[in-house]
Amino acid sequence: MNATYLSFHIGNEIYAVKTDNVLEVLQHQTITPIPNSPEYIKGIVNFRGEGIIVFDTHKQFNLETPLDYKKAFIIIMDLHVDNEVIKAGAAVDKVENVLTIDTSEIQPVPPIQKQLNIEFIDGVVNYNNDFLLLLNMERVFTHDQAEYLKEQNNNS
Amino acid sequence: MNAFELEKFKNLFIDECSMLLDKLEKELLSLEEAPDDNHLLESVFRAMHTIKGTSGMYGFKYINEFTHILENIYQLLRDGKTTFTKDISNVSLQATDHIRNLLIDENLADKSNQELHKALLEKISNLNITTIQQPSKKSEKSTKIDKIEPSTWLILLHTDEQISFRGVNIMNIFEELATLGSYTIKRIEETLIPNCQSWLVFLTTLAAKEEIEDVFLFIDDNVKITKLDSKPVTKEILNKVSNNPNTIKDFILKQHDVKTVTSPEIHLDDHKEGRKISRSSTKRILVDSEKLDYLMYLVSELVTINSNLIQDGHRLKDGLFFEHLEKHSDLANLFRHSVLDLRLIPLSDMALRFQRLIRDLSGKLDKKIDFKTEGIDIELDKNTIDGLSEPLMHIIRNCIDHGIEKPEKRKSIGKPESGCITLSVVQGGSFVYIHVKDDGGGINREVVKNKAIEKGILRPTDEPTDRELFDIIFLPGFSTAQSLTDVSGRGVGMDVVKQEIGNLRGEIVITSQDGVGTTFTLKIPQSLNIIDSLHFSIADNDFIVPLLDVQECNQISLSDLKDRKNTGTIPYNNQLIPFIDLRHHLNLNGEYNKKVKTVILNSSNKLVAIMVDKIIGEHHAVIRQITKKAKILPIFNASSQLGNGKTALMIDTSILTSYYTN
Repeated sequence: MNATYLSFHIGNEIYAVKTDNVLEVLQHQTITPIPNSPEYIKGIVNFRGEGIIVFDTHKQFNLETPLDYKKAFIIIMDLHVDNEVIKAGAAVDKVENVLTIDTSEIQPVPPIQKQLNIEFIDGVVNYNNDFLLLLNMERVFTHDQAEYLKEQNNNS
Repeated sequence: MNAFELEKFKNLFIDECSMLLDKLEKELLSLEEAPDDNHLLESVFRAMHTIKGTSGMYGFKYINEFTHILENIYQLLRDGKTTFTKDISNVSLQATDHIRNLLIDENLADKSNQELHKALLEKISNLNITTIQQPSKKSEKSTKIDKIEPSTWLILLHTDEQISFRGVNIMNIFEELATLGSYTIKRIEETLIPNCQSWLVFLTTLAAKEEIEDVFLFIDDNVKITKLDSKPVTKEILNKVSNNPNTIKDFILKQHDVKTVTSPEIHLDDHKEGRKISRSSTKRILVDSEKLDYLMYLVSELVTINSNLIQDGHRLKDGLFFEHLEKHSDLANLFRHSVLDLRLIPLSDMALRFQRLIRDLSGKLDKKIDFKTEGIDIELDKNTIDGLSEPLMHIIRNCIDHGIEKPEKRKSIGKPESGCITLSVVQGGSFVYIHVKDDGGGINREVVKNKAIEKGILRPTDEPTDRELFDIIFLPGFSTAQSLTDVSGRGVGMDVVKQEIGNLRGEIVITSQDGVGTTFTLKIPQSLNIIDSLHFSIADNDFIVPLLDVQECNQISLSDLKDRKNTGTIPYNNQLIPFIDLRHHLNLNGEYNKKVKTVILNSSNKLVAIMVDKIIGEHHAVIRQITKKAKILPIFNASSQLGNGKTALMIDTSILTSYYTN
């Protein structure tokens, strides 16, 4: 079975999400910061008259280089969180392409190393000799990094 | 016409028919009050006739059949051969309900609808037997006495898809046609003119040709009106003619009087009564709310782009250009305001349902109740109106069931036999106050108290105030009805009422006087999405608070403030009130000015001051909830786009006060 995906860059990796839930891709938007919110919440952007929360994927993936918002893309999506559909925007480095992927070729994530962002990945697919990481945006959005880091510290 | 196009017309018919049914229902209720009002009777008859005619056009055969029989009764009423009785009005009102069912279930697929259909038809035919048989003989006579013979006209009408876009409403045309006489419509299956649906109308009327032409004034290009000989057209001719397009052509050509109606000039002073009525019914149109949302979105985009233009336009240093731009921005703002207004609809839309409820229920309970309304033209947001309907119905049901006494009892205590329920609406600020008042016996405080003690809500020693006592009524599972009726149920309800009012961000309060009556007062924000707010900023971050929560704007010197930091309060009107240093709490940069602006907030009678950098002014805000799933401070519950395209965060004052003052 074929499905269409939107591919994009976060840091040095290429990720993809199903286009079904993607509403629009925005650029050069004024993002209004929300004071005293978690670091990964960049702020609110206006989309079709609604105020939509934008989250910073670099912060959420614990990347060292900050996202350059002058060039960044915001992918506005419908996310299914706790039986509710909410609109949210993911800020990424660059949106690449819309591709068709044969879902039978999706592989499970190889347990290479215990990296934070592994738990955001639903699967991996080989596309033109590139590895596409299929991203679970719901998990990225709801993931509480502070909590996670706390756990990591306690475990180590 | 292909199936898709027919479907479109059908949907239009359903919308229009629903509106017509509302009108019909309203007029039937008025007719009960004034059964001799011929004008009303005419109007009722016309509405039925129009529903009958057009339902036939679109293939709603059960509606057609049903209204046909009903119409016969009204024909007799109209001719003065019988009088309007309660039975007739009961059946007619049930009929309007049933036609609404039929609009959804046109082929009577639902079993219960089938049974209802049968039962109602029976009811109607029973009516006929008892009241109508004798006078119907007279009716034949009277038409013979009538010297002026009505003539029959053949009208060939073509409608294309654009007809409704040109503002022509087919329903209105047929409604108007019904004022002239009786008619039959046939849809011609074959296409005579490309992209057009053709209809054949046989009209029997006393009216002159000009009057018929007037009805079709707005579609004059696509209509041919021909006079037939004065013999009434029989069903057979009709069928023969309408089933074969060639015979239609022949039929029309054979007439000597064939002549295309030339478009008559429009005389502005030539308004006929009938036209006035049809005009008033086109004053309002039905619009899909998604279209409104889209319009709202377009307008906010326009405002944003306008503010971008103004910002960048400064660089051009072109005075004339800027003048144009200013005008543009004024227009854009006006545009925005009027789009916001589009969502508001008057409460009177709901009142009809209440009137019907009171009528039906009082009959069932053998009570006499008048319904009065005041100020119901006040407008509320569509969503609010929808949310209010159920709770108000419930309150009114309670007034009828528990409030108003039976006529005998009322008489014995010197009250007029008929009770009265008044729905009055008053606007105050951005809130609307809805009072539902009955002149019944009032709430028996002892009964409520005893019940509350019985249920363990109160202790026997408690001396609750009226407000406390009446609030108990809104608790789940509390009912004081001595005998349970099928009307206001078992105490499920008043708690739901309170909850639903709460969902609308409203409040409900009961006041009651023994023997004089009970009043339910609902305080409802005019719109869930639009509020008047105060716009201010701290370190270039824009914030808004609901204007209703703002008590006053003041200022205090920075040194004074620093002195008071340890107590956390500032003086205001001879008292000390707590202040919240939002800059500090929100980790915002910078320092306050030497003269610190303060906004005094009043949240459920608790006063608190916040310090801000700039008070920018009032903002008519369209607010959008921010998802609760994001891990942001709960004090930010909504956002609003500002006139300059930026976004302001709305601060929930009640959360703010509880969050930072404890």
